[in-house]
Amino acid sequence: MNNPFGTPKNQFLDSVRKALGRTKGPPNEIYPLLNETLSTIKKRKEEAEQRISRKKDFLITELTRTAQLVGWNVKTVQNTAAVLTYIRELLNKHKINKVIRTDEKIFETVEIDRELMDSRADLMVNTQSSVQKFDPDTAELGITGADHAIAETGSVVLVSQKGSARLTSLTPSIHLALVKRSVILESLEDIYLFTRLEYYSGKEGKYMTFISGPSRTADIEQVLVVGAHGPKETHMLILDWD
Amino acid sequence: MSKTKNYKVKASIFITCLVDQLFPAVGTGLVSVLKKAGVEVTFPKNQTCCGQPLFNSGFRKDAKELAKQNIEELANSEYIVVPSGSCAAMMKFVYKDLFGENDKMRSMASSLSPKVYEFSEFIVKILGVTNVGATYREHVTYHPSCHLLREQQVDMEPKALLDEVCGLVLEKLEDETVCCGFGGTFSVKYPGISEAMLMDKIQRIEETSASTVVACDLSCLMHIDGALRRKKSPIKAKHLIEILDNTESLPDR
Amino acid sequence: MAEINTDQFPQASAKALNNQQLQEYLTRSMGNFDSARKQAIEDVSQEIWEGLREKARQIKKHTIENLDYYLDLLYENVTRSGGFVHFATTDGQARDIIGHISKNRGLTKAIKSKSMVSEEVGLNKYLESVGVEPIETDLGEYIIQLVDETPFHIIAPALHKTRQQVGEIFAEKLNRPGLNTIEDMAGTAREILRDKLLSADLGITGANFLVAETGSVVLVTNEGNGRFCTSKPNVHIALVGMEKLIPSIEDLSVFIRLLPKAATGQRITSYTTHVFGPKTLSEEDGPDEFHLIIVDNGRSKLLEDPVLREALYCIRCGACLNTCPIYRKVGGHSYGWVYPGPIGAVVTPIMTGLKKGKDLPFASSLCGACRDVCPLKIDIPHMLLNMRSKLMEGTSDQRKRGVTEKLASFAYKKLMINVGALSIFRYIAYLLQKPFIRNGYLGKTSIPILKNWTNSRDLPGIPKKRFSQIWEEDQFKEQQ
Repeated sequence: MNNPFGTPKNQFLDSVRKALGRTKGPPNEIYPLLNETLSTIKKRKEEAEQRISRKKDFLITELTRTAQLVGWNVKTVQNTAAVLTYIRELLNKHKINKVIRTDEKIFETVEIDRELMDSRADLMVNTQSSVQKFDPDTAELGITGADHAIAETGSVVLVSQKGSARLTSLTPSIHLALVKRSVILESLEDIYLFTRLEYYSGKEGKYMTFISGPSRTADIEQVLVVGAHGPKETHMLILDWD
Repeated sequence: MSKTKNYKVKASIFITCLVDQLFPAVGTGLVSVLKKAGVEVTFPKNQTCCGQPLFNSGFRKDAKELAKQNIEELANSEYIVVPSGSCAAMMKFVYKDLFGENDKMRSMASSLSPKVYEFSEFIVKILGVTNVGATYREHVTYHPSCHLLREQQVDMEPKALLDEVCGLVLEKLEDETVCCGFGGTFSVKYPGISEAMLMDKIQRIEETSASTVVACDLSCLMHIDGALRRKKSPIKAKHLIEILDNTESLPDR
Repeated sequence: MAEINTDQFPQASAKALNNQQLQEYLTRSMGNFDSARKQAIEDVSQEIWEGLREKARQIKKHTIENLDYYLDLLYENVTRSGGFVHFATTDGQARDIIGHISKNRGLTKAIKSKSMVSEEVGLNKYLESVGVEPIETDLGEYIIQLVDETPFHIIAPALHKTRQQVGEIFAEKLNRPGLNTIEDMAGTAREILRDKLLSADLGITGANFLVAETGSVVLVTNEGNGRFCTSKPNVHIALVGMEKLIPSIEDLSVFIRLLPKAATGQRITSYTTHVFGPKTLSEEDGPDEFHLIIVDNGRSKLLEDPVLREALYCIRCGACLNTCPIYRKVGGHSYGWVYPGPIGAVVTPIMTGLKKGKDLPFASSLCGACRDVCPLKIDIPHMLLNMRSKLMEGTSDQRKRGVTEKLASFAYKKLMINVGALSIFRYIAYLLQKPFIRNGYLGKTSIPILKNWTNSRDLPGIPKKRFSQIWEEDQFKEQQ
């Protein structure tokens, strides 16, 4: 975009170089990460996947622990029926009428729509409205899958993409995430490695959020309280089957 | 006396302005304790202020002249023992950088630096002594001065020495690592803030049942003592050396 | 530029010290973030923490030393993702760029997620002047916006307000009386701001990190407003200081481990958001237009000085503020600009004028607590001392010292070198003080040089003999 204001890039960079006493060109010392080949990164990812696969059961326990520490309600379930039961109880407990869910693949195998309709909740899928009954922003419960989960931090990773809107996990006051055991990673290193490889493999970089519990604020008296602009309550169901 | 090494260590003392000018008893105590620990003490006469007040105020050129005098005077000493954490830090960490790359003083300052020890550091780390045969039958609390604690990581040494004083009960000072508020010229440039910080420190001291607050820096002590005296507190403020130089005389028969 | 009142530090700090209510409150609450930070570090172990600090410092050092290269890489990758990159050397340029973007799209309502840089450039007033309504959505920023005040703390802008005071503000300004708990107030803010979060046409954020390799903007937040600002409005502007760069996305793991712990004592914040330009065609929602404005605004003055350069490693966690005994007494408003506390004492004068900010480098006891807690091991006392020497002995455009100061330094030096002169001076002082000494101490006095000390502290009297004299005499005796 042509912005008549602002400093031209080369002029700006020149003044930075001048301040540093540098000449134009690559860094004085090689930065190892940025000098890796794609095949090295791929290899590292494969090694990570093997490690994660070996430790999967431990990672489920660890994820449960760390997620609870940051305020998730966590339950591991063994089948779709258990998922439906959980949802039913959630709807009843909070007397929820309006539910929005993403259109992710997981909902093809874990069919929750019937359960929601049976509970007489109005359902909207993603931002399309199959039955245009309510403004998506008024949904009380948002249900998503999870592109990844991070055992180290207790986080669900959501990537914005077709079928999965950014707001679905943000506007409702309750967020439920269905986390398949296959998406659980061990550490921050893992998620960033995976994301990096995706980026280099030609896929476009996509908006990615780590959700680590309900929204909070610490702005008054340095006291951390739960419930700010994002959901006040977050639920994680770990689907312990492949 | 336990753990004494049986050879004569020769050490010079760097007396520091505050000891020389205002608290000579700490100086005589220093000499006495070192001698007791088997040290042959020398006092190179041409030493002067370490220069920290000038350096901290931004007057590096003036500080440099004082540094030069000290570096030259102490060049031949094997060890330099300093009864002050801040002066020791000045000589250890700042002296070298006062001189340019090509100045011969710079390398002399580099050679000086590893030979400089704060008093408690010297006694415990170099001499391996923690019991100097002192007695002080009172409750004591210890205030770690910032330059000693953070820049030199000397903390267990003074505490170890105090622990071995006969009759002394060492009480931990709550929030001990919080600065007392002296900070050199800060204490008179921003007396309001300095005082506010000092009042917090005094409060913590009063919360212990200590009769005496001890530190390794007379700058902190002057500041803390100044407030204790102003409010007519019974609590005393003493330098570590004053405690260690204290021996109980035998009762008269 | 935000108003610069750095020369008011002596008066502002005195005022803060005399504010009884503020002092009681600061004593009560200032420790909370600090204890939380300590606990968070203990939870991962001191050893791991130290490892992270060292790694982070190495990454930042490399990046800053080669900043031009990484800015270029960032530019390339943001542009490739479909975003626009602008460079603002001054605060004026930053404002004008934003004004141009707004005009171009006819934007009228901006929701803002926390951005210190937007404070630096005085963005809100400017936006109002060009017909864009600026709405702070971060709770702390929202509160101070209601009462038209400046931020008190880097990460908790309304820290100086007790919950009662916030309750009163909500009652008065929002017509919501009777709010007693912090949960209630947060809930009320959520309710009131929800409309605006969903109807704004422009989202303005800062960034905690910029990743050169992928052209990403990373936001580390708790409230969720950062997510709104980058999801709902059609246009997203990220206004970011040029020092926020790191080379690779894999470097983020170190920083995401450090920042939440150092700032609020959290294992991780509720949201860690990674923006890769505007929304892609396949995404359901998100802005269709993304602008990254990279701001200098005086940072190159820090960059060009090898000693001061490490101030640019700062990740704005606020740990130094939370631990500084001076900040905990005088609070953020005393420092007179956007960045208070230890890091503020360094960057504020350099970015806004060393001479005007001449009091800030001296408003420190150099205790070093800040250096100890800094996740990047930034040596703030070292930099403050460097600034002090610039003020006293620097070039003509750095120097700002009084005649008496220079004279005092000169006189002190001369006395210390000349033993004879010192002895005479001392003896005279000894004689003069004698009538005023009680029990070995000088009490309160109005004598100019001693006034500041003796206002609250006694001063020990000068003993007759110096140690050196006693030593001489003892040596002489021993030789007898």
